[in-house]
Amino acid sequence: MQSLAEGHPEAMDLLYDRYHRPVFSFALRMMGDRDQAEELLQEVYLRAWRRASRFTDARGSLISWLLSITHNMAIDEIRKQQRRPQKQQAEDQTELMISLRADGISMDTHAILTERRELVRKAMDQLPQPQREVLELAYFNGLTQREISELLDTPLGTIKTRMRLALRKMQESVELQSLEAT
Amino acid sequence: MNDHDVIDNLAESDDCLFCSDHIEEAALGILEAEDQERFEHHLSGCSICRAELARLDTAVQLLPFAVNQIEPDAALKLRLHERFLQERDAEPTRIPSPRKSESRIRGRKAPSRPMWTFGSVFAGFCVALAVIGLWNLLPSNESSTSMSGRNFQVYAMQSSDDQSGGHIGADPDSKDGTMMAWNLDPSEKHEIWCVDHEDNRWKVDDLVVADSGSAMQTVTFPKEISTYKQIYVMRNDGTQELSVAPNQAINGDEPAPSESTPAGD
Repeated sequence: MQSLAEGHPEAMDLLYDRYHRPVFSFALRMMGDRDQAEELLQEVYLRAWRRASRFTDARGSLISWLLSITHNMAIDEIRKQQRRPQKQQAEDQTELMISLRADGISMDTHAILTERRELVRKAMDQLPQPQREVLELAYFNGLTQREISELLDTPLGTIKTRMRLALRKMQESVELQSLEAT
Repeated sequence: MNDHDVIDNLAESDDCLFCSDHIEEAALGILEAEDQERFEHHLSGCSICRAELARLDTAVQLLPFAVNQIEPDAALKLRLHERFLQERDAEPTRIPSPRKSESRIRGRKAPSRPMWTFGSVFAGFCVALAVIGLWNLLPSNESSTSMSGRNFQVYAMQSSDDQSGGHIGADPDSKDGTMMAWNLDPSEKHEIWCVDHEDNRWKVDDLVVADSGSAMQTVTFPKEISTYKQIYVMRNDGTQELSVAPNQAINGDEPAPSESTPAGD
């Protein structure tokens, strides 16, 4: 990251090679449009360069930091455009799974990404559909509780409860799985 | 006791209640703008709510990994590479803070734009100090009891990452001061906050940062500057960029503690 902060293009290329797939996939899930997702990815990497000197792994992994930047910027963009992303694109729904063993990504990174995906999918699978729906609308579509309440024509209190329960269950499930893994 | 009970029991104050009511939205990054400020304000002084938010974050941070992995256009890497080079070359060189700058600037050609920017801001800062000083020499009902007009101090703000820097010029017995800062990220929002010795916090103002990363503005604090134990500049992610304890001036005697009654908020 020091090298990136100093503006070395090789550092930027390396960061891209390692993490462009999860960043792009997440950006696409949020924006619902390939062109916007590619634009967002570029903005994310440029912001990461500008803030590289502030990154510290004590506050989380590099990929989590990048994804957090992606989320913040996507929410800003969604709100700025005052529109919501389209439903998941066809290619997302057809499970276009790319082999992470392809070029440019190390086995370590592959293992971490796979492990985390398994962890979170298992946790999400355990959520009742209404709770999962609220969680996805909030996190991936950037809707506030009030907006979700209007969209689903459901009382705000119910949405709050569903969101609270969904996150608590996710948290418990993740903690439990992490404990079992150790 | 489950987590739900824990949160309910933690809600010891109105702000904690507010925080526990909005903590899921905050963790998911979807708080509405009007709630964001109150939430961040409370969070900066409440370690319990901070810890709860951190726990939720562990689950939230995993959510992006749930999406299917999709490969972008192969040309994207090249486009990013070119754009990076373009923006890197256009970026003004970061200006170190004055106390550390001399050795680094000396011996190499400093780029003209940042030095111009820094010079103009610094000149403006000096002019502002002079104007405020002259103003305080004029007879005034407010200043006649506590302001001499000659007790100006310059406070050096400490940077959290050794890159940015800043000064506040002010009479410690006055509520007004001039803040100058440099090497800030103009794409971020910055806010000026102060905290008194009873740990009451106030957001004083937004700090307007120019594209060059510099900022200079007059600031009116809720109370006399000497009554604060810290004045700081906070980024929109809740981290501190610059801070100063107003009992440490760099150009004069340590200001005596103020005996004036705080004006309150």
